[in-house]
Amino acid sequence: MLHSLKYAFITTVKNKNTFVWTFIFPIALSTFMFLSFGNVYKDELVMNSIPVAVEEGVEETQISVQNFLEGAKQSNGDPYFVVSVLSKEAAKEALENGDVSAIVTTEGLTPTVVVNGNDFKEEIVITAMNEYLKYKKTIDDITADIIKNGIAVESGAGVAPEEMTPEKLAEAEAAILAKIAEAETDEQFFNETSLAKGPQNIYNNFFYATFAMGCLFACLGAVNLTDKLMPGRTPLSGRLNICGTSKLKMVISQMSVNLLVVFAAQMGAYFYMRLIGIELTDDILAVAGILLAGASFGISLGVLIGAIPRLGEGAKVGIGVGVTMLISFLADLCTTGIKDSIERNMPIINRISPAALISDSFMTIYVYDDYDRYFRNLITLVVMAVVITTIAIFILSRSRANKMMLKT
Amino acid sequence: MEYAVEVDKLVKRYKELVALDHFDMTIREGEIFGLLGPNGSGKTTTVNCILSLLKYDKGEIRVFGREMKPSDYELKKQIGVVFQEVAVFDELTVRENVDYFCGLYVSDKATRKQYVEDAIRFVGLENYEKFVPGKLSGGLLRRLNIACGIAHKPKLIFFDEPTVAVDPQSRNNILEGIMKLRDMGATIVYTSHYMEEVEQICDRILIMDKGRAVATGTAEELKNMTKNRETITLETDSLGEEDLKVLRELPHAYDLKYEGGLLSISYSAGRNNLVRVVNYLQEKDIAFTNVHSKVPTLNDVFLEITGKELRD
Repeated sequence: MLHSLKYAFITTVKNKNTFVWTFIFPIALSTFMFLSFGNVYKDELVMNSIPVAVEEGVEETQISVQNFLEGAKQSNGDPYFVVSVLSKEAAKEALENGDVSAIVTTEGLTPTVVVNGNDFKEEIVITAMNEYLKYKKTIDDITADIIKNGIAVESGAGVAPEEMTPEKLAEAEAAILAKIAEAETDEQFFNETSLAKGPQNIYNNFFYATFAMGCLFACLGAVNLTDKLMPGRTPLSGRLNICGTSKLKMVISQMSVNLLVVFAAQMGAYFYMRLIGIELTDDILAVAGILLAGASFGISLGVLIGAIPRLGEGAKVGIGVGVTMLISFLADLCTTGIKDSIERNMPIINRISPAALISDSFMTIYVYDDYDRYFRNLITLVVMAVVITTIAIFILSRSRANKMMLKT
Repeated sequence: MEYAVEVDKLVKRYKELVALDHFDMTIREGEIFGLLGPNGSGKTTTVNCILSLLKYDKGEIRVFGREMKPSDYELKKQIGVVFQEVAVFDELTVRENVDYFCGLYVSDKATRKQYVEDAIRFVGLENYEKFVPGKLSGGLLRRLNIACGIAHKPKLIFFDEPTVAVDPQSRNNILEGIMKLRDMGATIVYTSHYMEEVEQICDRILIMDKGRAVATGTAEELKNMTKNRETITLETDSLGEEDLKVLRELPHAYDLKYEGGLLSISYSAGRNNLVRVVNYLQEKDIAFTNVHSKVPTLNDVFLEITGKELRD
């Protein structure tokens, strides 16, 4: 067994494909993603204030909009918007020069928004002004009710409907706004609570999925090693099949070495990612557990695919790549939202999808500190790996070629 | 008589094609047994069935008296294979390759070390031990391929067309090596479509065609199966009808052709046929040139039995 292990190790580490896909790929991919996300990765929750021009117009509207925009604050206390009150021409020029992201016109009682593009800053201004208009409509509805039914303001200067004039209406509206303003308080009636106990960064999902993909790509090496043990495939497989060592021993040796190599490569990628500043858990034992279980699954999947009789190695590698890509896609490596959508519609897939289990395990220990869920994921991966390996070894042990694919 | 391999009524079909059709074969211990046949005759299928690499439909295969099964590793330890294509690991050096394959049969470290050195010396790769296969020439690669197949000192070795695409010098080395292995006690099964090689090294030969054994025996025994034992040809312009009559009536002559100055006489037996022809021509003072005496080859045997050339 030691003999088989020794040479399985040498052939594995000296294989260029293994080296590239196992060691270089996760590091290259994580570096590429880290560079692509750039500052967004680090500054995701803190945004620069958006410059907005409020046009000079109806004074009440102008002041109302200005107060509304200036009152909007980010979680760290910074304002969402920096408001400048400008003339119509100056505002237009500022927008064209890119000095402001939007203009809010205040020529009537209802403000409008002018933007010069559709990136996220403009979207934020439009969203904010929509909120403003909803707020204003509420006030207008109350005012209309006043017109219809009259109102007794708190000062006691009641106005009957038949005595209502536009001036009095404006006074009433101002009085209502003043009351609302008086009633405004910084007191939080609801505290924002999150299940998350650690920092959340949506971009981390990509890095978790990178680990998942790295573990699953181990299946390609396993396809190759298993194919070598299939009778009738190549002269080398022929020689290995007639040798005096059991196939089970050879498969287990190769799997063990592959597991060790993939695990080492994934741990290396983990340390590398932390080194370049990606936020990952510092619970190394837990990470090792995930990666070991994930790599076990990837390798067992490869052994099973490699054991499919009557298929060439190219077809088997194609199946391996296809399955890996599909599973990675379902776990959000390619785009966000798929995993959430699956969670809402068919959660069972996320419970058994290996890539989802691997990335979820990372999130579980880093963000939620939920070790029950972590161990459930781990056990699921290991059980699936054991079942798949058992099936693969059963197929391998019974395999004899119907047709020789090798030329002898 | 101890048999190394016994194949009894073996049938192997590839869908409609019958690759082996109730094929029978026995190989004696200690002999070089040649499997000779044209491409597609079933040689490789036979070997792969014996090695349990290939499923077969009917029949029995016994190796050293035991039924050959894929899981009989003790039996497999007594078998070595040298495929036509090189079957080694590109990532390992010459020594590592030989050591790896030897280690799949021999667990004792000291014995294995000795075996590996013996094998490397046997094929003459002492100076290339640290080379990886990619750095070896075609001939050296073949030698490595052989070393990997025989390092564990098997009692039964299959050589499947080991000299295809090999230069003449390497081919001679390989053939000499095979005979040396036989002399050391191994039983060799040698498949080839090169009749000269088979005739040169094999103790017994089985001729295959269309998945059947058409003839078995030593090279001489096979040749004795043909009517023709010798053909004499010579060039002369001076033969008359009387001369041809005399030549046709020489002992063992059964066919005579004389066209365009080329005389050809076929004999069914005899050792002094050429002397008799030459003596007659000298007596009659008939000038002649370009004299050839051709004894039958295995190709002639194959041609006579199957009606087609071995290399068709």
